[in-house]
Amino acid sequence: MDRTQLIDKLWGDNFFGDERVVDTHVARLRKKIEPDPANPTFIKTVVGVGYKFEDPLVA
Amino acid sequence: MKMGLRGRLFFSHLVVMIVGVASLVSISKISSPRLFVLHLERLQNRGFDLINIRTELVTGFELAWQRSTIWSVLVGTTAAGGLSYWMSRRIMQRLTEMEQITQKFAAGRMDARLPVSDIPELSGLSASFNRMAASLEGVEARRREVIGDMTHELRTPLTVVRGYLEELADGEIEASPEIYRRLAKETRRLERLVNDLQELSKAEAGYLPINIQRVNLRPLLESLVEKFTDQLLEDGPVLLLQCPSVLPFVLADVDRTEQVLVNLLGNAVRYTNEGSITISVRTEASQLWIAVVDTGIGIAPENLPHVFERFWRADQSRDRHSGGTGIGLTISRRLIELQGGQIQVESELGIGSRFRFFLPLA
Repeated sequence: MDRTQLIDKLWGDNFFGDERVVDTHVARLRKKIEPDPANPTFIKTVVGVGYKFEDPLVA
Repeated sequence: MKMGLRGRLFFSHLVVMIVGVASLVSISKISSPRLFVLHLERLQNRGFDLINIRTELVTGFELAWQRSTIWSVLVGTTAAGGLSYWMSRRIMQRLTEMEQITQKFAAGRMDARLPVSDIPELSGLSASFNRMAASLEGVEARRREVIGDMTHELRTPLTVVRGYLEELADGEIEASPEIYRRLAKETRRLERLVNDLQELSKAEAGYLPINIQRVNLRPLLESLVEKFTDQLLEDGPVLLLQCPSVLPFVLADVDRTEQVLVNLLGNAVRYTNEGSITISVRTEASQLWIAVVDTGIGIAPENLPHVFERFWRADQSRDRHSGGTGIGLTISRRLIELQGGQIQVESELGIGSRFRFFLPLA
């Protein structure tokens, strides 16, 4: 999903800030659920697009 | 058939005239011969021998009286009749003129106004009519303005959608989820605009259902701070709440107040890049004042008086995620007013803005 889609899903029409705030939240999420936040296995960055949630067992 | 005003005026003049003439003639008929006879007797007593010619004298007198009375009645009533006719016509002319001008106005000439008249009552009527006409003309002009603004606002997203669809149809671009998302986004924007407009027209006509209750607003403020803090960047502005821990109850509609605060906070987030956005709450007399103060880009002094007007936008080209519809503040103001409060704004370019409103205490 790209940032725009994520924002749509999360806040819908009530978002007024800068899109980059998504990055901050993703970083926080990674800290919580990734065994190694620096090398994420669940939440992957797709360069030029956005983020992708991957289940390493299926991928 | 009902008699018109001119007929009535003329008729009333005639009646007055007839009464006047009739009393004049009858009193004269009764008293003049007797006075003449009295005069003759006085002359008799002074030595004039009038016995032989007394009858002739009296007859002559009566004849003279009759003739002159007939003439005077004829001339008098004709003159009076003519005068009364002319006077009623003059009055009627004014009224006919007024009727013509009001008809012109009713037919659509909104700039038609009644002239001042030398008859004070008619002048009063003219003044009243002119005030009403000016007010109606204003309403018409505003209505036309709103329709004009609205069509422009609606057309923009429609043009975008049409552009994409036509290019898709011509095969100039390939269908992709991205394109569909863009189409959906513009359609949503249109939906939002239509909803906002509907709300606005309801609010302005007073049809918006307002559910006023005794409420404590603190929980609402806290939840809004939470929601909005998530939208702020780390190096962006910080959201603060300055509010006494115990707030007095106010008479308000919680959902509508939330709507207003979302609007104000949204604007603050949109136009503030650094510094702070503070929600500050204060009690003053019988009012609860809530202010949203930001250190954003501010509003230019020449724009400040227009900020609450329909479709006014600070930055027309802004294409942020929810590019504002331009009627958020207009609706907010109406919502606050419908709850018995008032909203104000202060701002300085480059320094920040302060939007504050009050609600009545319970």
